[in-house]
Amino acid sequence: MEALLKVHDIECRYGAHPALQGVSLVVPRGAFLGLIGPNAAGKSTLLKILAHTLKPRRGVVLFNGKELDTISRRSFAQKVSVVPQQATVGFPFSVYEVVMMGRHPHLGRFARESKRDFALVREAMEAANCWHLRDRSILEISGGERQRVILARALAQEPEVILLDEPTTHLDLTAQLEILGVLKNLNTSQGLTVLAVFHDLNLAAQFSDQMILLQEGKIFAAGSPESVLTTDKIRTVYRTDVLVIKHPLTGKPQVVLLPRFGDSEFSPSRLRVHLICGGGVGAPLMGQLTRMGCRVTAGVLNIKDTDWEVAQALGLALAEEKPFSPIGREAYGANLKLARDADAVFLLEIPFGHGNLPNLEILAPLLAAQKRCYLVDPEHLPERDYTEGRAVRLVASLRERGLACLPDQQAVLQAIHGLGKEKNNVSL
Amino acid sequence: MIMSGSSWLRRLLCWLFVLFLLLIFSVAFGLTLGSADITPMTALKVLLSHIPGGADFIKTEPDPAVNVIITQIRLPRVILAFFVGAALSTAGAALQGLLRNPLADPYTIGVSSGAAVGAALILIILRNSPFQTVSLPAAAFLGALGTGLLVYRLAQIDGYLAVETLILAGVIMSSFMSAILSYLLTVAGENLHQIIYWLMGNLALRGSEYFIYTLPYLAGGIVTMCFLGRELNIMTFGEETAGQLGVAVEKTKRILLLLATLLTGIAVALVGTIGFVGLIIPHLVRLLLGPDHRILIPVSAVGGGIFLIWADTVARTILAPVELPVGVITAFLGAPFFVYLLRTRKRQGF
Repeated sequence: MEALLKVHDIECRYGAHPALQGVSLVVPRGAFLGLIGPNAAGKSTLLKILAHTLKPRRGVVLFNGKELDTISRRSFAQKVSVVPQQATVGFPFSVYEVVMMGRHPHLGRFARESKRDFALVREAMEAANCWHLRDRSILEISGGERQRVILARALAQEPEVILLDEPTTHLDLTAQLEILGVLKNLNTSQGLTVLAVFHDLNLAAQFSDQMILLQEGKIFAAGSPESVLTTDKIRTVYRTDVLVIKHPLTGKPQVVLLPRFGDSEFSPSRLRVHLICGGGVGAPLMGQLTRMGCRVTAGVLNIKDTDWEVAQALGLALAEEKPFSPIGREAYGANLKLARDADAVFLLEIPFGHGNLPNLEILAPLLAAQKRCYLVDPEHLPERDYTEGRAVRLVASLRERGLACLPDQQAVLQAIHGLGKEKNNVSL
Repeated sequence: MIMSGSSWLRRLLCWLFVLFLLLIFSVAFGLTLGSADITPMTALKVLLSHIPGGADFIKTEPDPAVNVIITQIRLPRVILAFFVGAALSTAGAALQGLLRNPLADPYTIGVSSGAAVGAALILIILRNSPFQTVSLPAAAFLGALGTGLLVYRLAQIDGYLAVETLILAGVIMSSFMSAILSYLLTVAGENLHQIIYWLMGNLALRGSEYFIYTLPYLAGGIVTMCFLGRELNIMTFGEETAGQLGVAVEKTKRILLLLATLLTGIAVALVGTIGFVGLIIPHLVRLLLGPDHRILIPVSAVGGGIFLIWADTVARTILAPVELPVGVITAFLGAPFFVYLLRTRKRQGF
C-alpha cells in the first residue's frame, strides 16, 4: 500500500526528557491505525509530530513524499485534520459556525462560503450526527456532543488523513462507540485514513486494522491487533498481568484485567491447587488463584470450552479432552496425575452428565491416597445431576470416605487461605 | 433559525446599515451642540455649501462665523473622535480575542504608559519651546511603539510568541513605565497640570492637529483587522487547533499585535489615554451580537467611533465653558450601561 504519512528515525525531547527516540513509522493510505501505550510513552507527541504541530529535534516527517517543512499550514490542513482529546472552547460560537471553521483552509482571504462549503459542512455534521445541534452554542452542549462537533469540523476539512488523540477518553460508552463507528464507516466506505491514539486497548483492538505499541518513546511492537495485544507484551509494557481473550462476536483480542488482591496475609504462595471444572465455572477461580500466587492446574477440560480457553490464556497445566467428547482414559489419566501433584483438589459446581462422570469418579483414588478433596455446593448437586442419580449416589459414598464440602467459591478461597497458612507453618 | 447562505455577512451588513444611520445622527448631534447655537439645518447648509454642486440647493450663503465653527472646529473634532474611538475599539476587540482574556484592552500591552512617558518628557524638557507642538505627539507615538515592541520582544521565546507571557510582559512594562512617569511627575513642577491633563485624554489636545497625516494608517489598520476575523475566530480554540485548521498562527499573531500597537499608539499620541472605549465597546458588541470576530471587529469599530463622538460632545458641553476630560465621560457612561447589559443578557463565555 502507498505510504501517506511517513516518519523516519525521529527524536523529540521535552527539556532533557526524551519523549520519542528513533521512531520510524509508515501510515499507509486507507489504514485504520491504533496507537497505544502507557502514559508518557510518547503517543500524543508522535501524533503532534504527524499533525505538523510539533517539530522533531531530529528525523524526517513526510506527507505524500514531501517534507512537512515545505508544506504550508494551509495546504497541509486541506489534507490532514486533527481531533484533540478535549477541545478548548472559550467563546459561545454556534455549533454550525464551529464546523464551518473546518472550511477555513479551503477559503481564500476574501472568499465567502460557497454552496459547496455549506453542503460539505452539512454532510460532515450529518455523518458525525450533530446536524440537529447546529444552532446550539458550543458551550452549552455535552462533552460527547462537543466531541462529535469537533469530529464534524475535522471532516469538513475534507481530509485524506484524520488524526485523533484519545478522542473518546472522556466520553461514555455509547458516545465512544458512536464516534469510532463514524470513523470506521468512513474508513471502509471512503478510504479515509485514520490514525488514533487509544487509551482503551479493547476499543483499539476493535477498530484498528493495525496497531502500534509504544514504550518509553520507542516502538515496542507493531502489526495486527492479534500480534500486538498479547499477554506477554502487555505485561512487559504496562507491568500488569492481564488476560487476553477473543471477543465472542468479532474474534478480536480483548484484554481483561486480573483483579489484584491487596490483602498481604492472603498469600498462600506456591500452594498447588487442582481445579476440576468446565463450562466457565472455574475461570474466575483460575484467575484469582493465579494472582494470589498459587500454582493452579485444571482438568479435564474439553478443548475450546471457556474454562479451557482461560486456562490456556493463563498458561496453566491442564488435562484436556477433544471438544464435545466424553472423557477418555488418556485424559482421565492426565487429570489424575495433575491432581496427585496438587496440595488440594477442588471439584467445582459443574453439572454432571454421562460424558464427564470420570471427573467425579477420579476423587475415589485421590481420597484413597489421603489427598485433600473438596466438593463445592453439594446442596444443589441433585439439580446438576443428569445421570439418573448416579452422581448423587457417588458423592454420598465419597463423603463417607472423607470428601469435604464447601458451600461456594468464596469458601474455596478461605479454605486455600487456611491450607496456605498450614503449609507455611510446616515449612517453618 | 435555519442557517443558510453567508448569514454572518448579511448580519454584518444589516448592523453596519443601522450603525451608519446612527452615525449620521451622531455627527449631526456633535455638530450642533456646543457653546455657539447652531441648528441642524444650518449645519446641513454649511456642509452642503462645501460639496461641489451642493451650493445650488441653498438659497442663502451661511454665516462665515458659523462656517468656521462647523468646518474648522466641530467637524474635525467629530471625525477625530470617530477614528480614535474606532481604532481603540478595534484594537481592544482584536486583543481580547487574541489574548483570550476578557480584561485585555488596547493598553494591555503597555502602549499607553510608554506614550505617557514620551509625552511627559517632552512637556518637561521642551517647556515653552516652539517645537513642543510638533514633538509631543511624535514622542508619545515613539514611546507607545517602543514599549509595544519591547513587550513583544519580551514575550518571544525561541521564535514563538507566548500569549500568557505577553500579558505579563505588558503588565510589567506598564509598571516600569509608571515608575518613570511618577518620577517625572514629581520633578515636573509647573508642568504637572499639563501632564495630568494630557494623561486623562482629551480630543482638544494639540496633537490632534496632526490627525490628518495619521488617517491613512488608522483607516488601513482598522480595515486590515476586519479581514482577520476568521483567523481570530479559529484562534479562540487555542493556537494548536488553529494551526491544525490551517491558520498561520505566528504570522497572524504578529500582524494583529503590530496593528493593535500601531492603532493604539497613534490614538494615544493624538489625544492621550482615553480609557474604557477599547475595553467596553467590544464587550458590548459581543454581548449583543455574539463572538464572531468577522462581525465583532467592524461593528466595534463603527460603534466605538459613535460612542466617542457622543462622549466627546457631552464632555465639551456638560460643564461649558469648562471641558471635562473625555475619559471621565467614557467611564461614566460606559460602566453603568455595561453592567446593565451584563445583568440582563448574561451569556456564557465573555
